[in-house]
Amino acid sequence: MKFVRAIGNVQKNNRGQPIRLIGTCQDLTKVTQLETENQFILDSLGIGVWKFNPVDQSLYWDKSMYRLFDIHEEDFSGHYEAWENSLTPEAKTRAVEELNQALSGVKDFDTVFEIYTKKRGKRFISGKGIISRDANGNPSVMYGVNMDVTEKVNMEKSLKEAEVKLIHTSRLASLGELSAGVAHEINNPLAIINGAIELMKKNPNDVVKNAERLETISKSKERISKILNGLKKFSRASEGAALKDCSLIDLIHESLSLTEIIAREKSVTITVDNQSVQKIQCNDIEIEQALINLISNAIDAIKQLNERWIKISIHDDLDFIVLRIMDSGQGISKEIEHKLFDPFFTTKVVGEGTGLGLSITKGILNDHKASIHLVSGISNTCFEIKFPASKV
Amino acid sequence: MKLNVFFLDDEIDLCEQFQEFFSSEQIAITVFTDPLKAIEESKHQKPDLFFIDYRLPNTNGDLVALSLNQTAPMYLLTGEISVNVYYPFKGILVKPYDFKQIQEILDLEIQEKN
Ligand SMILES: Nc1ncnc2c1ncn2[C@@H]1O[C@H](COP(=O)(O)OP(=O)(O)OP(=O)(O)O)[C@@H](O)[C@H]1O
Ligand SMILES: [Mg+2]
Repeated sequence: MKFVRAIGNVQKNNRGQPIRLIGTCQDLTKVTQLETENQFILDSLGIGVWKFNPVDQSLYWDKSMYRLFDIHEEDFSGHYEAWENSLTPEAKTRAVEELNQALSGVKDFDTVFEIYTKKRGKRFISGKGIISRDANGNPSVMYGVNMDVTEKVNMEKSLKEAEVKLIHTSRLASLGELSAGVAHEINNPLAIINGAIELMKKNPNDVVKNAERLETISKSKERISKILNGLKKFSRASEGAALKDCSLIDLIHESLSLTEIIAREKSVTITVDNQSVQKIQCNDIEIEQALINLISNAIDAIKQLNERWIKISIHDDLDFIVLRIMDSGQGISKEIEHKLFDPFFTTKVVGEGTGLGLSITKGILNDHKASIHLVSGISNTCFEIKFPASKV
Repeated sequence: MKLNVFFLDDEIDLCEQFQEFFSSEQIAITVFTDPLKAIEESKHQKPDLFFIDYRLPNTNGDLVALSLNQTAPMYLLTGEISVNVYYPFKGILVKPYDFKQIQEILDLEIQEKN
């Protein structure tokens, strides 16, 4: 058996009827064997090969691609849309943006996207591509490969989840910097108490001044108690604790009693505006932890800026209570926005951030049927949380 | 001549107590809650001894010591669990500090001065 490539041109008469076929034949047996072998290897590895023409948007898929995407060859449009339509809504925006960025030369096409298949449900596909450009630098054709990486992604996910659970239950996350601040904040009032006692010992008969000194001691003691009360909550296991009706504003003030230490040190002004009369049903300790994470993030984000403020506001919106935490930062770049809530995603240097704050916060809020998102379209950074109001 | 001591801590209570307790015929104490004022003032007077708090608004005692550009001995006061410093402090005192220990430091410096 031999493989032959035949190329020909039809010659037509002046009425447009074909009269003759002129062409050449080429023996491609060797080449085809090689291609078949290549295809066999790609197939067995589950790698699909594609070719995309950005000019006329036409798309070519090899056999493996049909299998990867679970589409019949005859149902394939041969057009860019075949790819875009297979993407899940969650994956679409980013994958399309990444393709466009690759075409405009901003960065290489090297990504993982999620597709929806008929028989096998949602699958994660890795995609890599290279682009040929014409003399003007415009993309003329793009070649690429796809591979099913669902198992790998799922494994990584469950590994991360397991790690997060571990840390979540031990309640250590984001308390690192906090505890350093706490030590300082306890030792300072202790030093004041000590100083007052020394002065009283030195001047035992100075009745008026000693009364003042006792007052100083009592105030410093209050400062310490407040910190310790805030901390005690975090050491107590709150798993499975009964939900309580709480006023959100009280929880905000509790969270501030811990974070204000750091805020004061970094000269960050925090204001609170309460326009809500409803309550939420919650595990108060968890909600405080979520708030602390958000406030600490805001402080971290603005501590180097000239303008340093955080505005916390709550208001009722029908059966919801809306909480906004806005800081003087200039928002969060589109590049990292979709990763914010991923466990271990951090832009901070090692030792300063675990990247768990927001993922734990989101987990806690999910447990409370509350939602969180980054508010877009404003010039400052702002997170918004919507709590369902308690029905009682 | 009196021993000229500078004390810098953002806790006003600690400043007042220090000044009240240790001021004497031999010791003049100037206190500061603002690091910038302390740096500025140390250019005019010539302090013989510094006590500097570690955790200060927008800066820390180590950075202040480095920018003071003085030869006088400096002691760091800290409420932290642990601190890493670059400046060669003569000593690091952990809050709540012992007044007796501070008295000893002051007495020693008075002797050195005379
Ligand atoms: N208010 C904010 N302004 C700007 N960037 C933010 C803000 N909040 C979060 N981020 C970004 O999101 C990333 C992830 O936040 P997350 O709280 O999950 O982790 P982290 O703060 O880095 O670490 P940890 O919470 O353990 O200290 C941060 O590293 C930061 O880049
Ligand atoms: Mg954080």
